[in-house]
Amino acid sequence: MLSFQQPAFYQSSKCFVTHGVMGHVDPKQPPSKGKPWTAFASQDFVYTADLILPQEVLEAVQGKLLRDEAVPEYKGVVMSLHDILTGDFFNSYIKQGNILMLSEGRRGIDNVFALKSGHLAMFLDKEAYERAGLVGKPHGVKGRRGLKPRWIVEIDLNSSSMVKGKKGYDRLIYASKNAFSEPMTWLFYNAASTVPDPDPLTAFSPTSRTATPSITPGINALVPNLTPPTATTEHAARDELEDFSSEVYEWLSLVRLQSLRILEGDNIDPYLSQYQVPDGSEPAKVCKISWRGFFSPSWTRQTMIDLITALPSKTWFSFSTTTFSKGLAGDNTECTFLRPPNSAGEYLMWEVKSHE
Amino acid sequence: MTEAMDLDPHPRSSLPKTKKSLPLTTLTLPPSTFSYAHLTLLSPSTVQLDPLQLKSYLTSALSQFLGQTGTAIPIDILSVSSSSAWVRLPRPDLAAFSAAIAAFPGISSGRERIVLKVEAAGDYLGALISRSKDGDDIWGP
Repeated sequence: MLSFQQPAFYQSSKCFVTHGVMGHVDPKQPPSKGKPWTAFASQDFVYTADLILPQEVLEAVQGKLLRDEAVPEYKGVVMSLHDILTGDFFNSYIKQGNILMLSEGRRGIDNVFALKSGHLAMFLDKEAYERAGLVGKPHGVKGRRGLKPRWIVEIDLNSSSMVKGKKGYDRLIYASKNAFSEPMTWLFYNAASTVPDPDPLTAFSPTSRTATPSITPGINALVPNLTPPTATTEHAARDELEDFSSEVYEWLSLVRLQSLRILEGDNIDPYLSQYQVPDGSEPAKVCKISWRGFFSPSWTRQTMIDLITALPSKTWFSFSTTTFSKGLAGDNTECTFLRPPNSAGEYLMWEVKSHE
Repeated sequence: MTEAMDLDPHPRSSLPKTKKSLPLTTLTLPPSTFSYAHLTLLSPSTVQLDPLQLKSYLTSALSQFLGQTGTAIPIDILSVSSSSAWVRLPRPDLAAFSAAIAAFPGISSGRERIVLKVEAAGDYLGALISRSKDGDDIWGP
């Protein structure tokens, strides 16, 4: 073994696996309790979503999910923090509506602002934090706390004290005028079903974007056995599930990567790659649908419900969502959901999380 | 006694039929065997990466940095596109691998110079694939 230290920078992520059963999903009463729903809901801003499913059910999904009106829409807009916190925009979108906004930048390096359901979080460096004069907490790595290089300020804008004339609000306005006056690029997503009339956003000339799904049909893949193992003893079951879930997660990721290694008849030389599809794989056609954009977790939940109702209950599918990067190393949180074939209620879920 | 306790309470035929969602087993995956790295060409060029060229590049970089030990690191090439590549390698070797790639000045191909950099690396491929990048067009006009 070489005398290198364990990779501290790269190893921050952990993967949590859940094997469980799901109750019947009624689209009229969308479920929100228990896994897998809570895992998807805990993501803040969803950046990409990938769906992998057998080719033969693509049409069923296309009819339900890929209609024009089902394509999620978000906006890009240039605003300063002061524009958000004052005037009609503040009253009709933040006090009443339900919007998601995220400013450009990397947490841990730049000053990033995130706004979700009236809750404003500001990820600041020390200088900006001191210039703002707001009360916050240290943020980021636990070591070197003496320097306290990063700070987070969290403010609930929906609170009744957040009105003109109150002290807390006036300090925030003062900070937005003096410390954060420059305009920033934001992504904007309206999670409410209504748009205020007149729309205060039009004054900032937003650009509308749609997250049109890209479909990769007819991948001639070697599909491994996707049914979780059942062992007779608890201990063996855990070991088997560990192996099974690592292998299947890698395989699903390779499909998402569009790697040639999982294709039927891939004959790369073992000198170049020794990856092997898990034992007992059968050739089958799968397809992949990807969305990329700026979504709310409520869109994820609706898509999952649509999927479960649209697909025959014996069909397997895998749906994964990732958030925007959260740290220096570009870490994000990811949820991958797999419904195995021939088992209506069973599911397997991977949550990859990095410490914040 | 213990054997009776160890019996799996949930054989597949009798998975509990519930109205609620119910987790049966939860576990945290142990440190994985493999790590994954995303490599990209440092500068835009007309060079098209291919698996063999990539392998020889990585071998040169690793042998310059670690000699024979470096060339012994087994690297699996997962995917190669014209300007980026994904590889898999044993997790304990990731730090050495990243250092070797970072310290390597590149190779010449004709008149052009090929230099690779480690764009991202980590233990879970799925989370790496769809991470957001700098200069992403999502923020563009």
